[in-house]
Amino acid sequence: MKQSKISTLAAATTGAAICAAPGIAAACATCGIGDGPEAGAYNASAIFLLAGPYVTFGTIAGIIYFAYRRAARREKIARAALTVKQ
Amino acid sequence: MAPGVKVSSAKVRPFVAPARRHRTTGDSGSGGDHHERPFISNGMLAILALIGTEAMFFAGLLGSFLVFRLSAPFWPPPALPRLPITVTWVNTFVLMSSAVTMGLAVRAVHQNRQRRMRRFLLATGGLGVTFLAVQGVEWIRLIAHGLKLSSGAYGGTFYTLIGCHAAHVTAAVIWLACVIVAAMRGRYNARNPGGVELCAAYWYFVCAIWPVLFVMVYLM
Repeated sequence: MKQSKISTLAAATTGAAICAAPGIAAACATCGIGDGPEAGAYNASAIFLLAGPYVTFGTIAGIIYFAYRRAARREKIARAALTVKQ
Repeated sequence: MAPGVKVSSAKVRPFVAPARRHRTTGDSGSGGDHHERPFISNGMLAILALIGTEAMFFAGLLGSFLVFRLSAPFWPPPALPRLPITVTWVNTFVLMSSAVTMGLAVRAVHQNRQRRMRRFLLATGGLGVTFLAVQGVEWIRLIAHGLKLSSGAYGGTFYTLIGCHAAHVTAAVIWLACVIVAAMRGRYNARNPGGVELCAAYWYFVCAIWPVLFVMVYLM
């Protein structure tokens, strides 16, 4: 059997084993809690913390973008005023 | 540098940032007092970075609070007092009003209206102090009713979250006091609004984080 086929077969077997027993495959301690209020609490907390950086840096990026737009608008007005003056 | 090598003063002149440099040449070809400024100041960038880290700090605290809150069968625990909702609603209104007065102060400094700016800065400081005073009175009442930092996850998360916010409001009030003193000395005007703007940015952050805390800690 070729080496690539052996590798594919090994990967498929490992994947099937993980799917069959997700508890064993739990990568962190909280994933093994099971279905209860604690699991829900950890999931909600994880989702909240995942959203945190996006909301924070999205807001900061928005502030910087609007500051840029405002500065560009002011520059345009100043140039127009200068042209009229000349 | 080898001894004896002379460097002209022009070569060692410190770098002048574009924001402070007069535009003497350009497309328009005209000189004058037009300043080339970056669209966002270095100070504002620093404050935004600070706000970003502070936001993540509060996100971490709220994440841990969510774990305790959602996994608890009873919240608040039966033996402990309920949090004062009505007074805190009024206090929330006070803090949100301070954001409005701060916005009016920033507008006033851009319009170069010194008296109006000072008046609104003082009003903002007064509202901030009022918020802290009401929080302090409520904390004293809660401690008297038995809700302490050692009262399990309920007391621990409440005092940590709300205490951290109160510490931030205190820092903002101290900063604002410094800005008010400088404003009284006529330091800020339409050409130099930086100090007021930076303080306002931090104040807005402190005000913006409060409704999130209020909903999650008091109402949820």
